[in-house]
Amino acid sequence: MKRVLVAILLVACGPKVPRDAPAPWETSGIDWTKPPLLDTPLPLSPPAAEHADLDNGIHIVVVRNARLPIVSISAVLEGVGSREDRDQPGLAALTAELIHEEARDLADVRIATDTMTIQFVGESRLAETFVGRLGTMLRHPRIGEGDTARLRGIKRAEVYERAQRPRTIAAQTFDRVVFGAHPYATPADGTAESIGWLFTRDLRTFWERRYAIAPLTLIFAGDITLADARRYAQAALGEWEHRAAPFPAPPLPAYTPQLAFVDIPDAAQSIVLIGTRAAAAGDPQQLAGDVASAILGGGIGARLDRKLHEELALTIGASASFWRGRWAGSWAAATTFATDKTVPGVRAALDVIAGASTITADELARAKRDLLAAVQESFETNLGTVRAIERIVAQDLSSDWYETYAARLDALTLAEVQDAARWRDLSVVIVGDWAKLGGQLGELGLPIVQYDRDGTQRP
Amino acid sequence: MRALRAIATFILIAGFGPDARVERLPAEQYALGNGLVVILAPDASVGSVAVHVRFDADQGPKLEPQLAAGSLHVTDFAARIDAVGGWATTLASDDYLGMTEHVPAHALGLALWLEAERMAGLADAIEDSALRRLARERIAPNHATLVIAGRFDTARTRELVRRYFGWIPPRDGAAKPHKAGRFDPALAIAGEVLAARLTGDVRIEITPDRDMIARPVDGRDPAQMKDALERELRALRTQPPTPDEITRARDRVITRFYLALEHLSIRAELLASWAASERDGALVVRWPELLASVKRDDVLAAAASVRP
Repeated sequence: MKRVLVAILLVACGPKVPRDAPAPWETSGIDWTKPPLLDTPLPLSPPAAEHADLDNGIHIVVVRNARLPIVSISAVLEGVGSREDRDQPGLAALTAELIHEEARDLADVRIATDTMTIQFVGESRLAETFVGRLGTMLRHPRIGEGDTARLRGIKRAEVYERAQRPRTIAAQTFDRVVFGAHPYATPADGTAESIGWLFTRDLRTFWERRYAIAPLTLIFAGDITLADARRYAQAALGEWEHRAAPFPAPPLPAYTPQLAFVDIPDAAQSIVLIGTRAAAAGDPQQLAGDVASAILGGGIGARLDRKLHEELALTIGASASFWRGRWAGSWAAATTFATDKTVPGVRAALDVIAGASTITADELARAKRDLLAAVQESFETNLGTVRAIERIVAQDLSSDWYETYAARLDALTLAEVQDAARWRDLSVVIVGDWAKLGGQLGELGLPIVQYDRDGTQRP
Repeated sequence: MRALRAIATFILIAGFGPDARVERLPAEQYALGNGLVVILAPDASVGSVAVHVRFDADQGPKLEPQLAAGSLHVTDFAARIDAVGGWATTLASDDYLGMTEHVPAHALGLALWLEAERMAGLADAIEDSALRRLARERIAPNHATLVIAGRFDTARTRELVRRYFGWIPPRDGAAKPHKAGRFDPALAIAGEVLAARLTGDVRIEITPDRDMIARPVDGRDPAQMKDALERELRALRTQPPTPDEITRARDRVITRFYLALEHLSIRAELLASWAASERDGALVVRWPELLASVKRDDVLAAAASVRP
C-alpha cells in the first residue's frame, strides 16, 4: 500500500521544466494551429411535460427532474394583468402587491400586461407548503385598509422614482405611440397619480370579479411527481369556486408612424427607440421575425451594434427585440446617443434597419444556432423550464411549441427571414434636449409630436 | 492511460436529510501525472457542458488581462467559443484565477483544446519578462483544477483530457495557497440571519478570514446600511437567533446552494472551489448536511468571530 502511494506521489509531482522555459509543444503530438472538428450537434430535446386538470378547470403542468431535491412552482393567472386596469391604471399591480403580502417571505409576484404570476422556488420537501400558501394568497388575500395604505405609499414612491428615468419615459411613450388608447399603452404599475386614487374597495372588487374567473395554470418543474402536484393543488385550490372565462379583446386603434419627442432640458444624451406595431403572439411569422430581429439587434456583433458602435462610434450599444402580447405586439430597436450625435445616429440606425433584408446565409445560420442554443440552455434549470412554459401559457402558443421549435427553425428559408426583416411604418421616440435637437428633426421625415414625461400628448 | 492516476471516485448524492430522494449527480476526481486535478461531473439531463479551469495562484488579477490578449496559438478565444453558440468568462481574485466556458455538448472537444492551449501557451505569448515568468510559475497543471460538468461521455472525455493536458509539464513556482475552511456552515447561517434582520436590504458575504462584506440592494444608502449592519451584528450577540430564525436562514442557504448547482457553470466552479479548499470537490455534497448540523451556539460563536 505504501509503495502504491509513493508511486502516485512521484507521478503527481512529475518532472518539472525550468522556470522560464517555453512549453515543449513538439512533444504534445497535437496540431495547435487547427482546432478539433466539432461532434454532431445533439437534437433539441425539451423535457417531457405531464398534464392534469382539477374539476374546477385549474390546469397543472409538471416537468419532472429529480437530479436535485428542489422545485420551482409558478401559478400563471390570465386576465388579471395590467391590461385589465382600464380606467384605473395600477389597480391590477396594487392588487397583486396585496396578494403578495400573504407570502412575501416565500414567493415572487410579477405583474405583466396579460398575466400575473406567483412563483415559489425551494426544496421539494416544501412543495406542499408552497402550494398551500398559494391557495391562501388566491382565495383569502388580506385586502385591508392598513395594508392598502402602506403598499399604496410604497408603490407610488417606486413608480414616481422610476418614471423620472429617461429609459422608462422612452418605453412608456413608445407604448403610447404604438398602442394609442389600447390597454397595452398603460404602464403596468400605473402612474403615481392613478395609484393615489386606488382604495381598498377597488382592490377587493378587482379581486372578487377577476381572480375567480382568471384562467389558472400551475407549473411545476423539479423533484415532484404529477400525482403529488395534483394532490397539493387539490387540497389548496380544489374547493375554490373558480370558473375561467374568456377575456374579450378590445379593439386596437389605428396606428400612425410619428416622431415622438419628450423634452429633458440640458440632457447630455438622448434615449432613442425606433419601432413599430407588430403581430400578436403566435403569429405564423413569429419565428422568422425572431431570427431577423436577432440578426439586426441581437446584441454584440449584430448589425445595429456593429454599425452604430463598432464602425461609427455613435453609441456604446444598440439592440432590437419584439414584445408580444395576446392581442398585439411591438418591435423596437433601442439605443442611446450623445445629444450632438442624436440626429446622425437616428439616421444611421434607420439606414441599418432599412437595409436589414439583405441578410446573408451565414448570418441566418449563426442566428439559428444562437436561438437554438438559448432555448436548449433555458431547459437546464427548473426555473428556466418553468419560464419557458409560462411563455406558452401567457402567449397562448401551441403546446408543442418547443418540441417543434428546432424543426421550424431549421425549415426557415433565407427568403422568409429576409421578408420578415422588412420593418415598415417605423416610429421614432426620442427622449432628449428639445432646445438642441428640435430644429434638426424635420429632416427625419416624420410628423413630430411632443409628449410630456408622463406620456400625455402635448397640444 | 499511464499518466492517469485515479486518486478518488465519488458520487455526489444530491438528496439527503429527512426527505432524501436520492438522485445522483456523479462526480469523479482524479489527477494527471503532471499534477492537474480533474473532476468529471456528467449530467445527461442537459444538452451542454461547462468547462472550468481554476489556477490556485496568487496575483490572479495581474494575469487576468492577459487572458483576453490571447495565448501563443489562439488570440480569439472568446470569439471561437461564441462561434459555436457558447460563452466564456474569467474571474480573478488574490488567490486564484478561474476561467469558465459553457458550450453545446458537441463543442466540448474544442473547449478542452482551447483551455489546454491556453494552459501551455499563455506565458509564451507574453512579452513582458516579469509577467511571463509569473505566468509560467502560476499557469501550470500542478497548480490547476479542471472541472467538466454537463453532457459528455466519461470515457471519451477522460481520453481527451489526457491527450490535450497530459503532455503539459508541471512548473516550479509558488505552491498552491491552501485556504481551508472556506465553507463554514455556521458563518453562512449567521450571515443569512443578519441579512434577514436587515429585511433583505443587503446581501451578506463572510470571507474565510472572517471579514464581513455587505452589499446594499439597489438604491440603499451604503452609509446607513453600514450603521444598521453594525447595530444588528451587536444585537445578534445579545439577542441570539431563535430556532425559527435559524431554520429559515438554513432553508434559504440550502435552497440557494441547490439553485446554484443547477447551473452547470456554477456547479463546475463550486466543485473546483471545494477541491481547492477541502482537497476534494465531491465534498460539496456535504454542504446541506453541514448546514443541518449547525446549532444556535455555533451561529453565536460564528457571529462573534466576524469583523464588520
